[in-house]
Amino acid sequence: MSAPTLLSQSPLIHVVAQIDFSELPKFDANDIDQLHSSLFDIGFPERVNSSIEEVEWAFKTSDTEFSHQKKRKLHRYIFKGPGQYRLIELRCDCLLFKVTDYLGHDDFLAELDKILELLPVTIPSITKALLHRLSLRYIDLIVPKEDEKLHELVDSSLLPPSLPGVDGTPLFGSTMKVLKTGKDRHFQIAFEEVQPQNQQLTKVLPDDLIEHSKECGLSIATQQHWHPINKTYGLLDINHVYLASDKPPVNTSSISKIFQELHETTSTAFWKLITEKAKQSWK
Amino acid sequence: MQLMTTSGPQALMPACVFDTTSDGSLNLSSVHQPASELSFYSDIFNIGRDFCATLLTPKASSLLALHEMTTEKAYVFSADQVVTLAKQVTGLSIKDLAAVFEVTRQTLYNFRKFEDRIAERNWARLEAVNDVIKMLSDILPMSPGSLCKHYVYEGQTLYSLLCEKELNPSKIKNLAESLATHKSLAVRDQQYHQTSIDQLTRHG
Repeated sequence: MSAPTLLSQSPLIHVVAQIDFSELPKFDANDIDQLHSSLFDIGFPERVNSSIEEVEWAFKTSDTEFSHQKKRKLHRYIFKGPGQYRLIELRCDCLLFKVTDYLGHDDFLAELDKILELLPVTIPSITKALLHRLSLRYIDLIVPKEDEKLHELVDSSLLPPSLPGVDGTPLFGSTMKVLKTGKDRHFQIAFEEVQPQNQQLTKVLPDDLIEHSKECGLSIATQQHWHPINKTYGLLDINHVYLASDKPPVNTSSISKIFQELHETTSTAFWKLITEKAKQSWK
Repeated sequence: MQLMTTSGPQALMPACVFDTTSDGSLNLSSVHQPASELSFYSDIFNIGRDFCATLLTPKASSLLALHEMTTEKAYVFSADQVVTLAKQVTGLSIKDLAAVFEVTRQTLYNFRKFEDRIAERNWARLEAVNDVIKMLSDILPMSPGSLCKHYVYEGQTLYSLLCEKELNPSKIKNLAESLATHKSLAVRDQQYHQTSIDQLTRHG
């Protein structure tokens, strides 16, 4: 969550812009081919067809009903850029733009705009879908250097309790808060305190961003002091969400404007959540 | 890709997979190995899910990756499994089962091949029938076959009850239990008659 021109050792490792909309009819194979062709021209040449399973539980609410579950397979169409540092993922009810080599908000938004421009041309049905939600999410990996400790790098309000009266070895800690930041806007912030294993980083993303399928994953460039590591490190997860309560039709130009607004709040929050020591260390 | 993490049988956390780049340096990856069943992290994950479950409205959905990071083994079914089980338990033909699932025969074939095209209302019917079929599988020792359509109990057959728009589990249960009793008596009688025939035809 920082401009690399300001922080040469930026802790930012993952940025996700997500657009959720009402479920579209099954994609026409030709439309997906056209989308691939268009994305090919703007730097996303590698296509990966994958799927995930949606599991739905219905709980028993009376003696005459049964609890039951159903599953269905949801297709994911993934288009990757060179070096595996960015991808676009299209599902029947959402679009995700994920990057791990964030070059700044202007570049990120410009690229997202290009994607949003060609989407209605290749997948016309998307303009008839109803917008549900937009979210802009930043994941920072806060790894202390040799002479640093985690609590010196982030605001104390983020840290889980240290529990000095309890005799034990830290395994994991987390904090979370959600704020309303405007009409239909929620600001979610979560922090995880993670232990390395065998002098290596273990978890580097929140659970719901972890990828399980190798061909759908992204590469994340490391910094020198990330390995070896034998002290507690942190994951800072900032997610600013716009809930389209009136569910308007998907309009790619207004989406761009909303993402700009979402970014402004998160940027301000980030700079207030890291300490002066962190700013100096990462300069 | 070189796997650098040593996520052994008692890995504490989901562990990031490392990549080796062309210049020999290490990159992290968004891909992680899941936490093992013995991991403390699986406990935390399950606690989180239990907490969420108490807040859920009666119907809720969750997206899970194909390789789930959980030790919970939830029963799930596919449309193909539902139709296959219904056929096994009842002995009904696909043509008759189509009426049970409130679709045409062709649509039922399509259910089994193209699950992603199944409409929400069809899923609802699949679920409802599946629950009843599971109950029947516990009651009926074998598929009733033609008795599904011919054994009458309180004015209805099992088939007619299964074709009703709103399934009535307690009526179906009562009929199935009566049918099971009837079938076991029929089997016993068959064995008795067979014994008599054996005795009559025995020589010396």
